[in-house]
Amino acid sequence: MAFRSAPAAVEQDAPAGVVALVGQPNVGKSSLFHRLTGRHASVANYPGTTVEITRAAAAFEPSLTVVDTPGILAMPARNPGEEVTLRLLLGGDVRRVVQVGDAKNPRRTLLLTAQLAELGIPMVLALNMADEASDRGVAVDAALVASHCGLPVIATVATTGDGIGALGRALQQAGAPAFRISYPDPVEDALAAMAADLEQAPLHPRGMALLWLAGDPAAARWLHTHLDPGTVSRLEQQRRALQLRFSLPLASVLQAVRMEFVARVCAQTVRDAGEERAWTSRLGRAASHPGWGLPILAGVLGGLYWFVGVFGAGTLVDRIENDLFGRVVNPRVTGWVEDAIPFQFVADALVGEYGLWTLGMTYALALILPIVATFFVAFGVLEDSGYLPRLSVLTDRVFRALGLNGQAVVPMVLGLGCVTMATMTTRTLETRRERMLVILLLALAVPCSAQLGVVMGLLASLSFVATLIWSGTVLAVLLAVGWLAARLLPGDRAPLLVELPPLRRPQLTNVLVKTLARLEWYLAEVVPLFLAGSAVLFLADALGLLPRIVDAAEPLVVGWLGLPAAAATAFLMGFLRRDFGAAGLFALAAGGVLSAGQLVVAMVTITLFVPCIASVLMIARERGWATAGALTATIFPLAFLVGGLLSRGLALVGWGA
Amino acid sequence: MSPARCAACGHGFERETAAACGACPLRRGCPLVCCPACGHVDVDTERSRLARLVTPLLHRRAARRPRRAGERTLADVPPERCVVVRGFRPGIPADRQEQFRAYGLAAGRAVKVLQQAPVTIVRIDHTELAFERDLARSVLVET
Repeated sequence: MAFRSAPAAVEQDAPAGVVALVGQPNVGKSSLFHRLTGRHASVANYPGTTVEITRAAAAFEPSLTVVDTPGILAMPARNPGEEVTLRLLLGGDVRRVVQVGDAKNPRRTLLLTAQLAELGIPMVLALNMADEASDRGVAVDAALVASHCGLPVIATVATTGDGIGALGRALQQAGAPAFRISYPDPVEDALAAMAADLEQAPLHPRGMALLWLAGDPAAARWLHTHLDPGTVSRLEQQRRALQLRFSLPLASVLQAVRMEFVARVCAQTVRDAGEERAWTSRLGRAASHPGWGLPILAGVLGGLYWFVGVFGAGTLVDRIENDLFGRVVNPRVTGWVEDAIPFQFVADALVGEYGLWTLGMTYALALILPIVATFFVAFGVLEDSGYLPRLSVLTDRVFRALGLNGQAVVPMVLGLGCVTMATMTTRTLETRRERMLVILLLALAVPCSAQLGVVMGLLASLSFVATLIWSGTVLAVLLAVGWLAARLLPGDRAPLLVELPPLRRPQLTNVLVKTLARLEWYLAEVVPLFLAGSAVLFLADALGLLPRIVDAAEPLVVGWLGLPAAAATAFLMGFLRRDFGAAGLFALAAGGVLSAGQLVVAMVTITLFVPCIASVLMIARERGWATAGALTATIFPLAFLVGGLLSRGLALVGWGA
Repeated sequence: MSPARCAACGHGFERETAAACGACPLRRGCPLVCCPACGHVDVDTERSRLARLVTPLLHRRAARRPRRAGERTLADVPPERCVVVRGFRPGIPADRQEQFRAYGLAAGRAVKVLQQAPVTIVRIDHTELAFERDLARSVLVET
């Protein structure tokens, strides 16, 4: 995913010149963006990690705004991410296009070049990853490609900066591509007939007509909003009439002509010795192999657990929470506040039991930050290495049972870091049905790293059996709800189809910068919520509401879940963020109020809660308020239902009393 | 309503203008449609709810149908072998075909099968593509 890292000023003062970086997934658009602007867009070796548009001023020409876009395989757009790119091109602000292409796959690249060049926007083709291409014995005659396609072609290596200067110069001089393919006569006639109606389109009328004929959803939306209904229905009729002349869909007819063109160009311009890079391709093959893949997966998961669970949630949290905050920071802050502020009420609000600093900031910075930071480092390494698509190959079978395919593994794993962020990346999934299913499972049963850290810390202090009961119950709920939802939601399962990029050694600077960008995003989201949570609790306590809420929740918490009444406070916090609630339970457990069985029941219940307010807002943004409301209304009762049943089950077998 | 296409002769036509239907007294509410070119009668799935429900089930069964003699698909190619793609089985959605083509998996192209389990993985030029075996069964290859 990409974060809007550019300052707001850039967006507001965007000059007339917008340069769009467009290209297929995983060709290095975000790296090139970084080279062209000096700013960071989230880079990953996973197809489809840019789901939002990132923009910043160009380093070589500050009056130009460079825009990074989600990858697009081909037009028409097939998923919401691809639609974002098309909508940008149709927005009317784009003055230049840089197509970022994979130099080692010229055929694929040029197929998109043909489509983009038809749009008539001044354009440059950057044949990126030229180093990987020459490693594999692929040589492309850039000058000859340029003469065939009628646009400048520059070989670049975004990771080292080779060719970036030439690209900047070519961009400043680029004109509309001198490119035209002849389609079959009926198509040409229709294009000519439609041109007059599409004069005011932001693209060349011929390019716009081709998008419309191919059935592109963004082009259709543009026509419906900008042209009068009579014109649209005339265009509709022309398209239907043309479709009747062909047995294949029009998109396929047009694409076949372009493929012929690309085959001709490649025959003259590309030499491919067909070499394989030895160790990375062998390792890549092993990582998706049914036999070798599983030990490698176990190794990766083990490494992840050690780094995030043992090092992050154990060592780091211990050092920061107990040693730094417990002994140094909090006593000093408390001292300062009590000296400086004579009013007890205000001092309590800041450093009391539910104080903004002692509760909110301490949880956010000492408990949650180390865990989330280590998770994002580990996830960044996984992303950049190219391992994640192989993970989707290995887990495809499991996700098939949930009505999904292996590609769902990426949002699910990212959900272990931050569910809100993961909800946003569901945009790269192909169908609406898949996006709904993954969002449901994320909201219900995928604990984020913050919570996972707290839960793991608590359970590890109990016993291994407690960990097994907690993870077994959550996993069972995940599978049962997934299985059921897959059968209830209408539509067919989309089978897995994913590109496996070459395995690469992650660049340390890239991983670190990306982690910082994610932490920035995370802190901006988390700290206000933690402060709000502390404030709500403090006020409820100060106004004497807390005991009343605890009393009101008693039948549910005490009667149904079998927990002490004090646990209601933790659940109240859990409505804001479930890790905040878990941290509250942590405090209760430390006080020796909860038995092992009660602790497991409380943990399971709160794990199944909706992750946090931010995630609900994100679900509403992605899928609308009706969906967000329905999910919330389903998830909370379900969480209490499972918790109560588990409580009775544990009592029945006599565990943890 | 989208244009209809005759399953027998491939002729494309508008449902409303199908000549034979225009003259038929049972036209109202009739879920069948006659091809104006060859007269072949077919069920119009846009008008028949039942046909809409049943057709996908039959198609799914058709996808599982054992291959016809002489018809070889990507799923039948053992790992480490190179084959030339012949085309796609009828019935695979057009946009899926376009997706394959955009990755370079198109008629006439040579691909190398790298593995068949847990999913099919092939290499086309320098692109490695992984897809489920059901999709591999819809890609026809030279025998």
